[in-house]
This record gives sequence, C-alpha cells and structure tokens, in this order.
Amino acid sequence: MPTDDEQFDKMKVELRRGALGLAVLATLREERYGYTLRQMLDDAGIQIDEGALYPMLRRLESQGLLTSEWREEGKRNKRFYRLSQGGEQVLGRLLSEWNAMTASILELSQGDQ
Amino acid sequence: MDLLERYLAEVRRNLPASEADDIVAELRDVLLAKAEEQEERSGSVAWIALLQEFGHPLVVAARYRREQWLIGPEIYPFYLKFLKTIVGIVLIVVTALAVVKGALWSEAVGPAITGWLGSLWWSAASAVGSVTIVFVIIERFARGSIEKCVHWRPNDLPDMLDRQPSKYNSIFEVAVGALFLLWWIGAIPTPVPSNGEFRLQAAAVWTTMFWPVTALLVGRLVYNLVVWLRPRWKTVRGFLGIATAVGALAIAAAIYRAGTWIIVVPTAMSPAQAAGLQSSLDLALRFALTITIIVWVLGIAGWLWRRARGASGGPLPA
Repeated sequence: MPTDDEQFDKMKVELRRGALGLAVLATLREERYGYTLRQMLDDAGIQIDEGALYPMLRRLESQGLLTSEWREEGKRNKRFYRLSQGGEQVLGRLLSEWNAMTASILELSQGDQ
Repeated sequence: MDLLERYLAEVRRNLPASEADDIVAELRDVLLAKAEEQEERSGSVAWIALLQEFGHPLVVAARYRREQWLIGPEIYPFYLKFLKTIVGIVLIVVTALAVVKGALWSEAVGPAITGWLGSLWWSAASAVGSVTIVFVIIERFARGSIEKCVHWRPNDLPDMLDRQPSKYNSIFEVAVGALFLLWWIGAIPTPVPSNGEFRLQAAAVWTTMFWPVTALLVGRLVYNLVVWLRPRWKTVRGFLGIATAVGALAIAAAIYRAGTWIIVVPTAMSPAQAAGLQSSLDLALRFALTITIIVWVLGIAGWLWRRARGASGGPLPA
C-alpha cells in the first residue's frame, strides 16, 4: 500500500505530464534555446528534467508545433526553438481547454466546501 | 572533456542513425552550458557527478525513441486476454497428451511427471514468446487496425440472468475433443494392447460406425468451439447441442446392440481361457456402456428441461 506522500507524488507526475507540454509551448511564443527555456520554466516554478525537456522539444517539432534553427551564440552553436503558426493555433485551443478545466475544478472543489 | 565525448559517443550508439548528429550536438551544448554554470559557481567542473546526474546514456538515448514500449496500452488488454487463452490451451493440451501418453505406454510415474513438467515449462514459455512477438509486430505496424480486427458488438455481451458456460470448461473440451478426434482417425498412433498371452482387437462394430462416430466428434468439436468463442449464438448452440445429443444416443444404441466391442485374440492361451476372458470383458463393457448411456440420457433430459424453461441451459453435458 503506497503512503500518502507516494500517492501524492504519483498523481502529481500524472497531473504535470500534460501541463508541461502546454508550459513549453506557451514559453516558446518567444524564441529561446533549450537551456534558457529550462531556466525560464524553473523561475516560473515549473521544474522539468533535461532528460525529458529535449526529447519533448524534438517531438513537438516533429509534430509541426515548433520550428528550430542552429545559430552561433556565445562562441557555441545553439539550437533555437519557437512556436510555429500551427503551434500558435494549437496553443490557443489548449489554453482555452486548460482555463475551462481549471474553472470547472475550482467550481467543483468550492462546491464541496 | 574526454569524459564528455565518451559519454556522447555512448549516447549516439543508441540513437536512431538519421537523427544522431543533431541530437548529440544539442546534448553537447546542454552539457557544456551546465558545466560553464558550475564553473562560474564553484570554480571547477565535476564531470563525473554532472554526467551521472544527467542520466545513463541508454536512458538518455531511449527518451528520443518514438516507441517507448513493446506493447502499448491500447492493445495491451487484447494481448493479455489472448495470452491467457493461448497459454491455457497449451497447458491443457500438454497435460492431456502427458496423460494419454502415460496411460498408453505405461510410463513410470517419476519420469512421466518430470517429462510433463519440462514440456509444460517449455510449451508455456514458447507460447508466451510467440504471442508477445506477434503483438510487438502488431504494435509496430498495425496498431490502428487491432480494434477493427477484434469484432466487438454490444449484442454479444452475456445476459445477466443466463447461466453462462464456463470458458475454461469449453477450452478443455475443445482440446480433449480435438485430441480424441485425432486418435480416432489414426493421426495419433497407439500400440496394440497385448500381454504375451493374448492381444485385444477392436470389434467390427467400430469399423461400421467409423464415419458416424467421426461426424459426431466433429459436431461436438464445433459445438464446443461455439460455446467457447460465440457463447451468444444460442440458436446454433441449441441446434448443435440437440443434434449431437440425438446423434450420440443413436450411435450409442447401435454400438450397444453389437454385443461385442473388443475381441480377445489368444496368442499363448487356450481357447477356453480366451472365451472366458471374452465373456468377462463383454459383461464389463456392457455394464459400463449401460451406465454411461443412462447418465448421458439423464444429463440430456435435464439440459432439455432447462432449455424448455427458457434458460440457456448452460453447456450440454459431455
């Protein structure tokens, strides 16, 4: 039988799984490379493991939601990502969905009190 | 830096070749940025700790693979169901074969059990392996079509109040029926029972009744397959059940009338002794046949009575 903390951690991972993609898309309305993207998410209180972030960026790019290009910056080649046109449309729809769900959950949880 | 290149080379070995250069270039940039950050903070770079924290090369590379599992959650329920059924059939067939083999060849108990356990293990392992390989191929190349392949109709769901036939009982009957049919048509060779003084030989009635019995065994096999795979086909089940029951009674009556079923052929005993043995054998077989027919008639009558009352009747007694 998992403890309450283990149960909480498991559900938190499930809850964050979809939200991380949304956070990445929202952050990439401005062009960034992976390292600064991660720092920005971290500063906003959204921790994401690098091992998960970079494969996610590639997956989102292969789905046509992001574009990327290699450019030299600070003596090193870096890969810069930004939201594609298709990505902007999908982000808009996802944010509407997110807001509706948040409102519903707030309403349901307040109804219990 | 040598450590970093060795690490990246190990990651590269496990990446898809077409994307390896691109992914490795990006990982190099990420790791160098982390190292720079660490150097600014503490004045040096602890590469071993940094790489360990970043992750095992195999795990890092695996995250870039499109397929993250052998059998995904969409087809896993079908895989599990199919696996249980196939392994169940394999275990029943292997056990039935071991019993038949032990009975016919009078093997010693110890070696027979050891052989059975060995066959059981290898057959189950082969079945699990084969089914898994098939589903891995489906996952890779035909995931979308699995739901189309497995026909699902709400009308096929079992009735709440029906007495549903046991699936495992049906699987057992199918396996045993198939084995018996194979034995009956001569596909499984059996030695002629003999003890040196006499040998036993099938009476003429079995040659006369070969085709009726074959038809009955095939009918029962089809009936059990329907009970197992299409339990909602009540009309087909009912028809096959009644047809095979009537056919079995007619055949049993014809066989009973023959009076002699096994012939004792003396090889090193006197004709008088052989006649005595034949008489005892006929009496024992007549008694066994009579009891079997009575039990069978009572079972069929009960089944027909339950059907007449509107219930499905469950499986027809074998």
